[in-house]
Amino acid sequence: MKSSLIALTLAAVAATGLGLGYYLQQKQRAVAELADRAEQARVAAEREADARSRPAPAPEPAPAEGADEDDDEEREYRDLVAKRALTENCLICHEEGMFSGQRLTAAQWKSEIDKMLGWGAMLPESDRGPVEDYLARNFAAETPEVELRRAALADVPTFEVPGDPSAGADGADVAAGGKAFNIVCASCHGPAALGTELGPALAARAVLTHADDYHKVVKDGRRKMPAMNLTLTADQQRDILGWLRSLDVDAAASTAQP
Amino acid sequence: MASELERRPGWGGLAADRRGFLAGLWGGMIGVGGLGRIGAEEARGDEPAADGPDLRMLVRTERPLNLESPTAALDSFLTPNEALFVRSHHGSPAVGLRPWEISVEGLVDRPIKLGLDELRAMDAATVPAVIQCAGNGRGFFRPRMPGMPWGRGAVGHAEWGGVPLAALLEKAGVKAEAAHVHFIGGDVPPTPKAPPFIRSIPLDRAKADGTLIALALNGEPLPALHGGPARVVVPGWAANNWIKWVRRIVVAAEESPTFYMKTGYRIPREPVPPGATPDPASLVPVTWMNVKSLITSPESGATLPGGRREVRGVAWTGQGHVDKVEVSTVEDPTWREAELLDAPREGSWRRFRLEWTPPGPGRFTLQARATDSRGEVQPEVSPWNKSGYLWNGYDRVPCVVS
Repeated sequence: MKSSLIALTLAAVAATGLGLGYYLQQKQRAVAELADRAEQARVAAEREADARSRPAPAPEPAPAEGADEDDDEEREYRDLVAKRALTENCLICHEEGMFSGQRLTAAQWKSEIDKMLGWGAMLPESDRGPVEDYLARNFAAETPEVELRRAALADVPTFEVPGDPSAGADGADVAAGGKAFNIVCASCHGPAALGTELGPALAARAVLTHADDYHKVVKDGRRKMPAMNLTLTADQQRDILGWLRSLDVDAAASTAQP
Repeated sequence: MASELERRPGWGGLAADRRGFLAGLWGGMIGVGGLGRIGAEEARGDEPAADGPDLRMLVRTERPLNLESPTAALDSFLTPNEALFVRSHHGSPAVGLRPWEISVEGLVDRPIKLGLDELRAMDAATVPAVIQCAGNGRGFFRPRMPGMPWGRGAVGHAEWGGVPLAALLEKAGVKAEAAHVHFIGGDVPPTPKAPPFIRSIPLDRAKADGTLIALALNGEPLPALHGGPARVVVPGWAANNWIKWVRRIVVAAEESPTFYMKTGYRIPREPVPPGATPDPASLVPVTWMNVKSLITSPESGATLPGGRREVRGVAWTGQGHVDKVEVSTVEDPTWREAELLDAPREGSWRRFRLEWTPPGPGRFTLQARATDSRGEVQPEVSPWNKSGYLWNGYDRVPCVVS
């Protein structure tokens, strides 16, 4: 009773915080938008002056600023929807470089989305249009390529390089970990930890060899994954890591086959 | 490996400098044998060396990790481990959770399962071979297609050490009806609906000289990022066939029925018009690489002082070996034959070099084309294919002579 009261209070505080954050963000965005428009107007004016000063002005395409302001707002809203949908659904399995590095036609983007849906990606039907528009507009065949980031491997933030396979699970109760996983984690990561459309596979994945990263994600949450610190004790989080590390992928795959 | 790197004729001083620089930049970064990022504090390479090329990797994606080598890092006979491109569909598995074992099963008389120590106890072979992503250069095709838009650096050349696959197959005893060998790696797709990266090669290629289960890369235990502890090496064939993190070798009568065999990594047997989607029945798996050259110095976009300088590069092919490389500029397309170094050997690359004196200041685009022992000549533009495999158009390097 007491603990649920505490949880409720915490939830209320969190909700208030989120609400306030959202309000401030909106306000900030509105201010930024105004500044942005002023800047656009200034640039347009400069361009016009520049064009007038030239003896033979080059033919210019119809200015995009001529579009209706409502259309701009609608597009901005749809882009927000698209970015959120991409973040919440696509970034479960890969990061945004997978799409931002490509330059494709609208038809190609459409078929890429179909391919990913076939491979278990989730995308609410209402978000599909905005996502297609966003990708086709921002990563079109004619969009200039962006210079790639350069990095030494040690500076790439990644779980992809296997780390220490033994640290971080000392004293784990593997059986208890399996039970806790089944109750708390399996609904998104699948009963055999081979992933679902809501959460990626964990069995045999390199993240299991980065105990610090694993514990941080479990404790704090990540994108759609809620923080588990109020749900799971530190011991349970460690037990689950021990259980995940004990999984045999072949056995897991054979039990998980539909 | 060190001796190979030092033995680069004519480029000795440069080689020693580059090695020192590389050692400092990358030293001890990837854990030996793929276990951990040891000594990361020594490996901070935020800034390129003040003099000398920027050898940091080009980050295509972080998850899965896809890193392209800068061409300056390919300016040697053997590519240092730390500069070799990284590519996988599903990312490295959690290597080290339990002892690694490789089974040979399927159409065999005696299914076997061997640990790493048992594999290391077998007669070892060492093969210098080019590893090249089937999609290297995809970014140059027009019209464009989906897939990682690799530029020039999804390729490298290394000394692979391990057990000949033929010896493993012999140990297990291949049945008469066998025709293909499937490889199952330890990497796990993010969801069960995404296809696992499983591929097969024909039995004759599996038994061929040079085909290995590699355990070592340039004399070091094979790093996890490159498929360690064990990966398939098929000299002359594109890297889609070089399965990483091999756990199971399954001998079968048929080709693997998996997505990455039947749908992915297929190319038209005959050239098709750009943009065309040919009948799937007319497609064949990507196997042998095609003839190709890469200019490794000067760097693309470099500003050079006037006067005579050396143009350097590497060239390779699938079947046979490279026996001619020619260099010209787009501005003056008179081909001049470069000097070829290194022994001709199937699956290996050869370095080339040529003295070039720019006619004066200005913008120039150097271009190179290779010819192999079967008479195949690198084309100006590769035949288009809808998945963008095996680009081998002229290698072009724009530069400014001041």
